[in-house]
Amino acid sequence: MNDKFFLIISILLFSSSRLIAQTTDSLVHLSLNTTYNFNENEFHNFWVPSPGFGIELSFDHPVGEIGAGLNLIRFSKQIHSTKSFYAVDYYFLYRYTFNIFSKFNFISGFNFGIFEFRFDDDDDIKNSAEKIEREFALKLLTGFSYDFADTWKFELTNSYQHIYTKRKIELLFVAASVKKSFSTPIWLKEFFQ
Amino acid sequence: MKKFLLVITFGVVLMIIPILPQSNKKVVIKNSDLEFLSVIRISDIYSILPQLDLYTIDRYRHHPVFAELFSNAPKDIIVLVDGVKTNFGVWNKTNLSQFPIHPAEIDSIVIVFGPTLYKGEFSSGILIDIISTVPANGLSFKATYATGNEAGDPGPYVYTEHISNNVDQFGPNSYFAANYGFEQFKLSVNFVDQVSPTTDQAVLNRTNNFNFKNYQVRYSGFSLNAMTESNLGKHSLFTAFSKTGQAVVGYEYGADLLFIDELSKEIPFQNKNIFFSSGNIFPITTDGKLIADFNLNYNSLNQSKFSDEYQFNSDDLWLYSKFGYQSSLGTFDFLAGTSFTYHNMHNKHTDFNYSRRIPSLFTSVRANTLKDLITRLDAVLRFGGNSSGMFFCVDNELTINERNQLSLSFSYDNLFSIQNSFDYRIRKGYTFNNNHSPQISSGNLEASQKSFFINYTFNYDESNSISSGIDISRYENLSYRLNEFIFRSDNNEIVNKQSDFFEGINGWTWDFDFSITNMFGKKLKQTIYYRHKSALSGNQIFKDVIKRFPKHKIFYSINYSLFNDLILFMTVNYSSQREWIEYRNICSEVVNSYNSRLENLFLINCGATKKFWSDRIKISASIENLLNNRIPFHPVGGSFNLTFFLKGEINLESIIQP
Repeated sequence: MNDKFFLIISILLFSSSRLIAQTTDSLVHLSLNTTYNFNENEFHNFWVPSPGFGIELSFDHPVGEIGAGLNLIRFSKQIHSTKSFYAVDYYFLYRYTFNIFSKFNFISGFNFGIFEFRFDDDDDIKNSAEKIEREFALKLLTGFSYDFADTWKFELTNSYQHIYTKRKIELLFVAASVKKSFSTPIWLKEFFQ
Repeated sequence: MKKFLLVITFGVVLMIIPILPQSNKKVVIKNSDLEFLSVIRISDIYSILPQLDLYTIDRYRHHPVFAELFSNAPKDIIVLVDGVKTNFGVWNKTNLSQFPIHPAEIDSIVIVFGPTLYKGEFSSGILIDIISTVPANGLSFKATYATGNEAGDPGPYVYTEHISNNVDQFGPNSYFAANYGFEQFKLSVNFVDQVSPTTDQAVLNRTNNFNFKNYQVRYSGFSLNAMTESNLGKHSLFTAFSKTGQAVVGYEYGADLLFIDELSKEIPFQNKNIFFSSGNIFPITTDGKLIADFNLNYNSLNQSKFSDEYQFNSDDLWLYSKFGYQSSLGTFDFLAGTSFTYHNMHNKHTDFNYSRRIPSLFTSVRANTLKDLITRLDAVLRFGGNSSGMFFCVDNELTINERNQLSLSFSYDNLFSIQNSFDYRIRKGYTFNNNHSPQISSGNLEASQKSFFINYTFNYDESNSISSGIDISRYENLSYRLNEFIFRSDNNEIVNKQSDFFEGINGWTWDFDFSITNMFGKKLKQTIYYRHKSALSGNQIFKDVIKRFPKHKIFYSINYSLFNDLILFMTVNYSSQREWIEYRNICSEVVNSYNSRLENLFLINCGATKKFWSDRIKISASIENLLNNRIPFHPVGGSFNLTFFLKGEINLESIIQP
């Protein structure tokens, strides 16, 4: 995993200059999504996921799309001795999109940030510090988008997320989102630069 | 006196017959480099200085490997601000992370390593000169907030049978600076607040007698930096107050930790430090100026209020003054002067009170002895008991042609850092309040060092250069105490089973380094560096001790300004195996995180900074140890996994004009 991760990051970093000329007008994007964790591994012996929801805000940059986002997912305990939790995933994002044909586009990118576990308080947590655990997480993502209206897109993506806990957590997600793009006002454009 | 005459005579002879060229053991880190590095703490600069050999227990405090390795040849870190000595540090431990200045208030950092005379200051180990920025006109504000999280927490498994220990969370570190600039006057006020974790299991497993209140170190520091320039001269003042233990902001307590190499354990402490450094330059003639520097440093250490294992107090007062005359006549530069150090060590609870006075003389001459040859001669003579000695160096730098430069240097010294270690205090009669006083043995021989350094630089053009050097050093009469640290699982302590003392150790070391620097315009800069270091010959004990240094080091860095508002960086560090012989029997079945042998280190760090609002706001994200390999830097120190850092910075420049 480490080698692959390194390779992908390197390719993204060093190929970025090649991508510069391909971007056009500056836009701000707001996206709402629903996401579902569909794989099963050791982690899922303890917790089962519910569908999650998220929001992303990004803007066009010559290198691609840069922004930040947040996802919220409920994981319910499978065994009595553990705790259910809400997963709050705060992240920075990078996306690169290129047109395949007509209104169809291919998307690739990655997220990195903090994956927070907010445990249910079943009246047995004595210290407030025990309510929350945080860990670094990285997500690699790929998918397609369809421009269904002038400034609206529908996106379907799948992603692999690695949460760097002591016992590593690997999650696969499928996500559907609706994205609205806005022209960047001059003041905001200046702020982004 | 005899030594002084010897220095002068030798110097005059060498001035007439320029034998050896100029060494180049100096690195300057510019503000633009710091921007790439996304500095969370000033000590982060060490990650791009493969030339330095440092160890750390916790990634918060860094110490030269050579520092107190040989008890009669200390080589510590000294810190200067704008060329003025600060005596910053606790005993002989200089924690650069705790230097009370906002990183964005630094214009550049000069690092000189090896025996050297820099602006009249002698350094045997590592000299760090922090050059502060000249603020923009008017009133400006800078604020930075940074935090980091190490991978490897249990996450949700904390409520399962797969529970594991929590690992480190770094910070938050907060910095604030306000500065005012008007014509030839500048004033800058800095505030630093830091939290550093003490949660690493390797440390916790052997410090069970200390109540790690909140499992963190709390540090706060204030500083004021002022500078004015007029016809009367140039005057600077840097004054600071810092403390560890009880936080200034918030209520949490967090003792600082002093790792004592001689005991192989941390002593928890809290301290208050006040220092005042002033540099003054008075023009006397059109070509000559008088230099007058002053420093006062008061450091008060006490045991942590949650620890009573070592009941102690240690108040240190340093007074320092330096006077010199600097002259420049055409191609001839001259600096000569004298400095005086007064040091008082005091324990309020025992009758320990020890003072010493350390005067010294220095001279530095630089001249174009031939058309393309610059010769520099440095000499220092210091009188101060165990810290006395002399240093002499002659450098020649030959410009063969526009592209090729050759430098040769020879130095001799029996002068090392001013003795200030735990070991030294014990020898002077220092005891803990409960009369706990470790047995320390030390020799009386006077160590010496001779170094020969040759360096060749090829500048293909302004953007591409190759440099290579060889350093051969001869050490004589070193003293070394070989401890045998073992881990006692019955009380979770590291103890010294026995000590053997070696005197009169001699040996040769050699270093070979090679570096290539390449730039594509202003957007991309990459450097590759290789160094080999090993013992050439010497006593067996010398060869064993030198194994503490990695034989091979490879470093690669790349900075890429993708756009004006987006910059990326990556560094790759490789060090070969290192071995600490005093920990040869430290391996324990109970705690498997201790090992005398530190295996090959392979470390990749990377990061990105996005600027907003025309550089007024910067958001940086960086990852240390990208491959998430377990990285130990010391046989009984913490080990570090992938760590994610995030930093936000606001820089509001000249918001009120004068």
